[in-house]
Amino acid sequence: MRLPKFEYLGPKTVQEACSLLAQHGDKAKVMAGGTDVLNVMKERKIRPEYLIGLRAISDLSYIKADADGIKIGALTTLTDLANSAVVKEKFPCLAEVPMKMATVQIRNMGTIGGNLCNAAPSADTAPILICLGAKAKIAGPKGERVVALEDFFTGPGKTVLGKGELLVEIQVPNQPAKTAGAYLKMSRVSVDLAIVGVGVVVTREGDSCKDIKITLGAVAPTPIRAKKAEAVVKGKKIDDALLEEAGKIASQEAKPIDDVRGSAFYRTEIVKVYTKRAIKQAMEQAK
Amino acid sequence: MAKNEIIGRPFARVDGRRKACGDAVYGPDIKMPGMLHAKFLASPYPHARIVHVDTEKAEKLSGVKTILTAKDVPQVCWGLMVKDTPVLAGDKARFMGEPLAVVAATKREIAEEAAELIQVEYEELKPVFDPEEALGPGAPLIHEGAEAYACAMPGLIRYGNVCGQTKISGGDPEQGWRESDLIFEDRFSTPVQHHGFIEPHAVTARFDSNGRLEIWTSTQAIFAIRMALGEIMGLPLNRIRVIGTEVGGGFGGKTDITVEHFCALLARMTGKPVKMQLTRSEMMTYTSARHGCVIHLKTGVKKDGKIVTREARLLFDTGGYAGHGPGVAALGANTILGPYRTPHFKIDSLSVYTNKMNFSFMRGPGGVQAGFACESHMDRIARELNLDPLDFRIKNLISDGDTSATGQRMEAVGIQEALNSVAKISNWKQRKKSKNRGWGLCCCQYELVGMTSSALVKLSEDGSLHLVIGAIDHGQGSSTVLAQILAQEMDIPADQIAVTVGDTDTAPYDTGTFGDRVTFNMGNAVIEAARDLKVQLFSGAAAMLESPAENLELVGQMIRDRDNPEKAISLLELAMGSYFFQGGAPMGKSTVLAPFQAYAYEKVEGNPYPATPAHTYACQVVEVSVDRDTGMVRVENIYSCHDAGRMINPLGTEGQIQGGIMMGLGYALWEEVVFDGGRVTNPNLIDYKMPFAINQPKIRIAVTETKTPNGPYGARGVGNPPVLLPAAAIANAIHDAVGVRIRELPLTPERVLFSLKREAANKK
Repeated sequence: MRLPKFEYLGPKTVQEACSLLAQHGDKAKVMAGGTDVLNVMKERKIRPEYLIGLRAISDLSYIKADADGIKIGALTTLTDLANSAVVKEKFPCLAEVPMKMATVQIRNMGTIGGNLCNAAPSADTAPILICLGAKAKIAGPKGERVVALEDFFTGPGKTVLGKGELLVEIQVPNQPAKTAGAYLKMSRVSVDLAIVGVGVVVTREGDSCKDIKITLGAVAPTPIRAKKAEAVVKGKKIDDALLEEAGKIASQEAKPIDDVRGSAFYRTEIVKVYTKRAIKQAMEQAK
Repeated sequence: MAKNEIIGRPFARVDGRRKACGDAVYGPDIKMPGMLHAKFLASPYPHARIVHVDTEKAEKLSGVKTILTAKDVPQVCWGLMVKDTPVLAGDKARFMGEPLAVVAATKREIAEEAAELIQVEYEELKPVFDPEEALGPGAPLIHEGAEAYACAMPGLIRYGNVCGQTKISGGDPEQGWRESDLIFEDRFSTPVQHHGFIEPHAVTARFDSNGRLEIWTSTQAIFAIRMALGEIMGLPLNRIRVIGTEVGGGFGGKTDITVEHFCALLARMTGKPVKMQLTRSEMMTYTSARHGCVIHLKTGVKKDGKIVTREARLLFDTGGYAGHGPGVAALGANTILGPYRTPHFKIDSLSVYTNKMNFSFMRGPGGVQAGFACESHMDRIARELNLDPLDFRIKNLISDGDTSATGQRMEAVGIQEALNSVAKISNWKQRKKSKNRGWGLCCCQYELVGMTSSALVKLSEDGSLHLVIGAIDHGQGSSTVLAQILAQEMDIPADQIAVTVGDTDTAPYDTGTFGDRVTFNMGNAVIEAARDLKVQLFSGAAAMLESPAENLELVGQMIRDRDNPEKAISLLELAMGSYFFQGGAPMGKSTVLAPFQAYAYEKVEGNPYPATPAHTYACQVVEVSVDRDTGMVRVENIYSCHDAGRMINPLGTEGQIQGGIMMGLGYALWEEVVFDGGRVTNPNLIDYKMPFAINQPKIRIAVTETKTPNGPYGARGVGNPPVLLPAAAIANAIHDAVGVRIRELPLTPERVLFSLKREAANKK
């Protein structure tokens, strides 16, 4: 299939992009790496009149460390995220995520901002970022605002981005000592969308889990926190029975559907198993 | 190996360089001045009466040159076996994705847009999707008046929604049941598999001013395409020229016409070249794929593990049109006993119409489905008899002199040696059993296809040799193998031989590249053509050297007198002499139809094919580990042994086996075209999962050589059996690892986990 007709707009600055977005509203679609949007356009699932390409905006691809943590420009490619020395050092669990996504070629094109704004329930970068307490910096006609990434998604393909707004940066705060995470992804073959994704970040104290965040992907309309499961584990000494219980509770929090990739039954089972395994793995890493 | 022996030495592919460097021309590469682009409109309903088609709006779109609907095209029904397929659906659509109209426009985008503007009024009909339901009373009839269809193949059994049925029986099954100590029954079901070639179907057609049709297409069988086009276009075959492009993967999916007739009709109508290239989703909803199949098996055995009797029923879902379905059902019937001696049997194999796309050939047709069922069933019997799966098989293996289900006397049976060999390389008897790890074994006996192949060998003016054939090398390496065979016969280095795969005008006839037939049949044809050429060369040289022709031999590009070696002439000198003074241009030719034993037709009913000239054999051991919590299966090791009869090119042999195993692995673990009613829910490679390179397990291959008496140097095909093996081998290994028997493919983690949970619940 070929692309349907559209007009390409190539703003040079964030402000320009926002004003084009405000001007064209629903008739426009933003393109970062294009690995998602072009495919759905070819399938005629969307037919924007304008495609606003962000490639010419040079200052949106960066990873910077500061006293609060790191800041990742929305146009940072998945490859750059995986290869970043500072991400590997500060958040190894985040650096590992892109390697579980797509192929080399797609990772070279696809961006972190695109993965988040595409807002697929199965978006691989979302669970671990939510667990790390990441924030999304949004530019718009009325200036900038920052929202917790946890509140960024509102439904499949839907986010809090309003008219004329653009995601420009992901901010990942520094974590307490003895904190580590894990992202486990169940897919059919190695290069695939997630059937289930489970992200966990724990802060360890001795053999106990001082703090924990669990985020589930591909089992609800958006990535969701499994807060009841977190409560089961938080402040407790970790043993197999507790993990079993956490997995069970998390699977009850999941609201999966049947689709061509997997059934609701299977997704529920995998949440159970992967929550358990992800906590165990994160606890190991946090030693 | 003799000093000059070329057969059996590894050779790099003759087409390797031009493919690696990117100058090979594939179907999508063809472009012509003034070329139009075509697109078809597909039915959105699986079963619907077409009340009215309105093309007015679409015709008004700027750039649209012509639109054809059923009323504008030849009113012929064509078909490979049953002539049941209209050029475009007219009265009714029989599957979702069936073409109703075709558009030619100046741009592909315009053709796509125009197709969407065609307005069709439908009246939905009750569909049927399940072959078992399609056989039931009151099932909607997919082809009313099917009895009036002509058949391209003789002896087809057809009724209701059945478009082909093969029945085979032997011995006395009733007596067999009485003699059996134990009886086992199983039901298996297999999914639809997409060929997954990289290159899409792409066709370009044009008519010249003399009304001659030229057509470029990515196909496995140029002459089969010409034949079908002749029938549809109403043209004598000598007015059609089919030019096969390089093929970026065929696997059986490019043996028949797909859109060639659309391009030809649009080219005739517009007077312009017309090109059509399918999208992945069109390929996955309109062109052929592997038949889904339901198989019932019932086997009686003695306590000591001897097979006494088997009853088998196979239902092949062939979709809206017969395609090769009746033949695929026959191949399933011929494969379902496996390479095992079965004194009494009754086999019934049906090809059934449903409201899905037309399923047809895919690598190992019929055998892949039957192989999974037969070998899973065998494994179950072995385990319940407390016999080692290897010992149980050895106890029942056929050998030379046995009779096949179809009544052929078996010879060059390669399975025993192959099984011994695979047991050895996998260390089967000493295999280690650890927790959640298991071992599975599988054998196969399949058939290769005979039919006509012809070859032409030309001696050029400078004494160099040129082989011209009409057998497409669709990547399996046949041109390399054929160059080696000619080199061997002519005692010349293989890299000095040029191979041209000609078109239907320039090449002598060949049936096509499928069914493991090219090395076997065309190999024989090349040997014959080389021998024909040598007769001419010796006769010419005899006059020049004044030696009797029977004294002459061809050695190192010289023809010399065996008794008097100084009397010699080079091929160059001989060529010059022949071309200019005596005899004319030497040209060896041949046409070969391999001899075969006929089936015992008192036992075999409804099989549309000529009997096979040779069987193929292979076996495999697989080691897996299973994650009990997720159902994830990891294939740790594959040991595979294949009888090649005689290897011509070990590199090609190994490549075929490796590739076939990966295709079989995909079929075993992941691949399934998923239907929701008549709609394919995963018509793309995002949701249709094929294995990636990283998913390839360790594969160890052994090749045995049990010479086939009628094959070239004893060779037989090796392309199909590798696909028949992994599904059953892996399913058997999963059973060994975690104790669940899964009778449905693919063996997805979800299916494995579900089986484990059901098993656990049953135990409670």
